[in-house]
Amino acid sequence: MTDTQAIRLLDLSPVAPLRSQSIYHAVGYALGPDSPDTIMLVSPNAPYVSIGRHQDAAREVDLEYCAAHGFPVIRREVGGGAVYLDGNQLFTQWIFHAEHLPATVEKRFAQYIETIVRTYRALGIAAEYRPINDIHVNGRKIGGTGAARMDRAEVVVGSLMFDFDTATMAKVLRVPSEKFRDKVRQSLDDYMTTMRRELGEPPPRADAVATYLAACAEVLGRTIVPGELRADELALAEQFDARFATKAWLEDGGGLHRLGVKIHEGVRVGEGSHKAPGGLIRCIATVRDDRLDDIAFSGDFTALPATVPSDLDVALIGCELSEEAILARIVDYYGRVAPEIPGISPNDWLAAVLQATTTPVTA
Amino acid sequence: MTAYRGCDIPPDLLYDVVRDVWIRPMPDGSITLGMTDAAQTRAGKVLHILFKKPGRHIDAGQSCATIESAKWAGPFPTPVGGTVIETNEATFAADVLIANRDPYGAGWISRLQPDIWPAPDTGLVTGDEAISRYQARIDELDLSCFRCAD
Repeated sequence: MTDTQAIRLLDLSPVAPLRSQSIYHAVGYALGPDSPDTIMLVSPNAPYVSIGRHQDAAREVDLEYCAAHGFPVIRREVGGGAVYLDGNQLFTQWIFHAEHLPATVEKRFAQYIETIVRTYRALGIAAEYRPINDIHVNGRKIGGTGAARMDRAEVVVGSLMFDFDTATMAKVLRVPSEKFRDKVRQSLDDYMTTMRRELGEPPPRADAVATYLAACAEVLGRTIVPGELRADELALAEQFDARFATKAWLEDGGGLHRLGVKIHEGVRVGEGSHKAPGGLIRCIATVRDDRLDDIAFSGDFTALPATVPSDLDVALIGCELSEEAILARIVDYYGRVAPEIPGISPNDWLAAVLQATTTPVTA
Repeated sequence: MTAYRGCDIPPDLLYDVVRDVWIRPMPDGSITLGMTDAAQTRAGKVLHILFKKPGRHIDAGQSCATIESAKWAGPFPTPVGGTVIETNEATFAADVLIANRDPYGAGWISRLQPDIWPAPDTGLVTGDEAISRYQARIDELDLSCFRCAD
């Protein structure tokens, strides 16, 4: 198989949630020396939650909520975080011979994302590539991407975002408090976008597909020819269906803990608490490009004036995420206002912020 | 140490050039395996490694760990069949970027007791042959190495 040969297009009808994940794993692992490179387009016919290769499902996802609402939770071999998916995304999966894609992950993403960016632009959306693997529209992320090695194949996955249900996304995550969940939802609304949001109405699927395939042919410099799944690929997909549905696979994570909930590459939401002599300080913080974008203190301390927590929220917004800078702003507030907060010093507020921004979220 | 386009290629190790894996035979008959400098460059900053546990037999070509970097996930395959006798899990728990910082030293991945050693038909290369094979591969991939932990 050379990189001058045609790329096989598999433009599939909507499939079951499990199959929307198993199918690209099957095509990846079934890739032999003479197999074509493949671009696969597929959507799930029902909502579900996909989790990253090494995430702890019970820690990251509200499994009870998902079960109650009939959302399967499916671990993928691609890394990254938990995401709620439904038929409003068209997955664009590249399953290529490793030597037919750039050698480094960064260059691979640059090529893959170029096709998505060109597609959105042709559809009237001012999308931009934000290295390493984000696509932004005026600072808002539009879709995620990931990559994995599957035997001989390098696989790059992403999606065309017709729409995205931020409310349900916030509900399927396991979070420490409902206040935190509200903050995640707000951040998703603030920092994510979709074709519906940008255009009012998303384009017809066929238009988006045609535009995407034209972009792929142009960027890759190769012909793309519609094809069919082979029998061995379908057989392997059935095996992956069975494997991905097992409790053992769902629990085969390995305990990767991430800092807070990542909204996009530069934005994450975290929560932490600090037990000070004067009481417990809770802090929910949104960090954007290493600055405090939003922050909310609460707790069981006594403060005069009563506006101290919200005053400190305001005082810290925009602050660089460094101990010195945060402490300086808190000390400045104490100097200006001289608050009475028994048993709580500026360093205690700092400790709560650091807990929220530098330790994994625990529900 | 021999370097080419920033990629270190210690000539005393054995290499599976295609899989980007190095092997160091140990005095007790075991073999230590790790990611090459090219491999850590291609994967990027390591976030997490899930190790196959000691006692587990791994066939040649199968993975003795799965690696997740910031942007990629994939197997760490062994070119030689054998039984896992030690992993470097504790070191990675203390410094997950250790393979990015020191791929040929403290950042080793697993130690196996090989089924047969020297293993036949593995295509492992060492010394000048390893260096010339790697140089050709690095050129083919248009790769320049850098320590992703920096």
